[in-house]
Amino acid sequence: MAISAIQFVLLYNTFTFSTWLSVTDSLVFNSVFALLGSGLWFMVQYSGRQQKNLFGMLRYHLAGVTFVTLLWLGLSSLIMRTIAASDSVYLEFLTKSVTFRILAGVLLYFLQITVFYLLINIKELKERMEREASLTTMLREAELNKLRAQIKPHFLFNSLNSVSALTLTDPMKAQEMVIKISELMRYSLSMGDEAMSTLKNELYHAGLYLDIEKVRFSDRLLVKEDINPECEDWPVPAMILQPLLENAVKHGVYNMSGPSSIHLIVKCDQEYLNVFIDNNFDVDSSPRKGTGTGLQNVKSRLAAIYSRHDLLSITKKEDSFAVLLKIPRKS
Amino acid sequence: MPLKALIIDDEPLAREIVKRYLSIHPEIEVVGECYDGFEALKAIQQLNPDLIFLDIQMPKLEGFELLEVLQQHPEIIFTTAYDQFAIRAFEMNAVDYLLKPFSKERFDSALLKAVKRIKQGSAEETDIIGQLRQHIDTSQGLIERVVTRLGSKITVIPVDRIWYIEAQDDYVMIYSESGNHLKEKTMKFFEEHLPSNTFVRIHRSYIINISQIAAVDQYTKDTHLVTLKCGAKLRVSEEGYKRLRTYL
Repeated sequence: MAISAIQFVLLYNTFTFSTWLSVTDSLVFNSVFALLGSGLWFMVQYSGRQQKNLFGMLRYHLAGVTFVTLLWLGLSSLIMRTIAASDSVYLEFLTKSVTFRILAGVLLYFLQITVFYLLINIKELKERMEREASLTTMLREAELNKLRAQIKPHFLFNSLNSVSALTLTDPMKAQEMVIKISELMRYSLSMGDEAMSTLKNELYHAGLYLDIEKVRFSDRLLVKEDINPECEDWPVPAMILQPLLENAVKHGVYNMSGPSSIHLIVKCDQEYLNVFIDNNFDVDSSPRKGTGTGLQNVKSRLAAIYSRHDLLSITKKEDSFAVLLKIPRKS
Repeated sequence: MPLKALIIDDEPLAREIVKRYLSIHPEIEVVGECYDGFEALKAIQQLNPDLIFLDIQMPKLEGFELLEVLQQHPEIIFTTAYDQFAIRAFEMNAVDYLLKPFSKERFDSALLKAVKRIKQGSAEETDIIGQLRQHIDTSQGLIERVVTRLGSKITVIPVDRIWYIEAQDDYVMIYSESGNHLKEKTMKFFEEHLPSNTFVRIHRSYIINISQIAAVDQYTKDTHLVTLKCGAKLRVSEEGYKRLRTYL
């Protein structure tokens, strides 16, 4: 439309044709081009991009521009010659302006395909971004799945081995132990990816875990708890405490021949629930560096649920290892 | 005379089940129970058992590390919850490998194999320890600590506390925070099994911990001299300098 207007003004003022003729000329030429141009869209979309190299593209569009420009000029001139058959001045002008019109046609052609290519690229970019976004979501879900605190096989088998011994020495205790292992397993298996639990429920199951470890290591594992009962209803991610306690057990009991103690403190204020877990370890033993996946998983899970990376802090002193977990009231 | 057995496990109930299973076998006498690798080493030296039941994950010194510093050759039945060492153990020709929890039948069949092997004596006795050593050499990835032994003194050195390692004939000398320790291993072993982001072989005779470097100076036209924080001055070969330069 804008091009038509410019063409009209040019024809009307510079070449002093009548209003009617100028308007018709502009409209005819431009609508014919617009018609052909819309055909270019398909040309660009379906065949233009199959040409992989620059040379092929160039050849393709050279053919395209020749064809489109000739068709455009031929059609438009034919229409104008029919409409303005009696106006000899105009007809002469039409013949003379062919070179100019060819140039304009070529220019318009390339302008149009450039715009089309841009549009297609933008569309593709958008699609790719959407695809990537959906992939990221899927990945995040998969990761959460993986991160979900799982009962480690060696813990399970060692515990079952203790049960096996207890069935011979103390059947009542064996039964108790089987029930505790089952309850802990059920809790860990039934929890969804971002499942929330309450502190009370979490502490109950963390207690099961510690009880089982106490049976395995008897007097070598000491646990002291300081829990503010007012925090019991605080929402916490399910199975978030167990990996932290397991880490404390691993650093302590697994690497110490003597007794190892774990201190669990839970407090809460307006904004946060603070869980503090502290364990001592043998200074002389050179603890094997674990893979650190346990704590890392807790961190990643917190990041996925709360979108924050500052909720778990770890302090390693000469003979003790402490973690502080902060759980915000709302996710 | 009954055969002497030693039970090595850090969990009391795990030792208990082995004891119970053994209680109906008068041909086996349990001479001791150990709850960590250090205890086990002492007990093996003092009691000279024919057979040991060995857990892998233990405090202080784990199962494989214990075998590394051991000189006697008792028969070994592994008892562990970890199945990833099973193939390894069978490859090494350990008597058997019991996955916890194990049944009485499974235990008895392992015991039968062990008793047979002990009674047949040294003729068919395979050098499990030797194979273990070799196996640890070739199949383990990066090591996190080194266990050395001088007489009855065992030292466990985490690799990040090693300053440098020097070749000494068939041995290497490990210089560390906890003193100097001789170890029967090759330079090649350490070159391959120490983390390559902290350790570099600078000379046929030296592997150094990069974090211990205080200075590097020109020595002769082709060689350099490295000074470590502990004061040691070590020659760097031309080849070694090329490697070292990538870290500096």
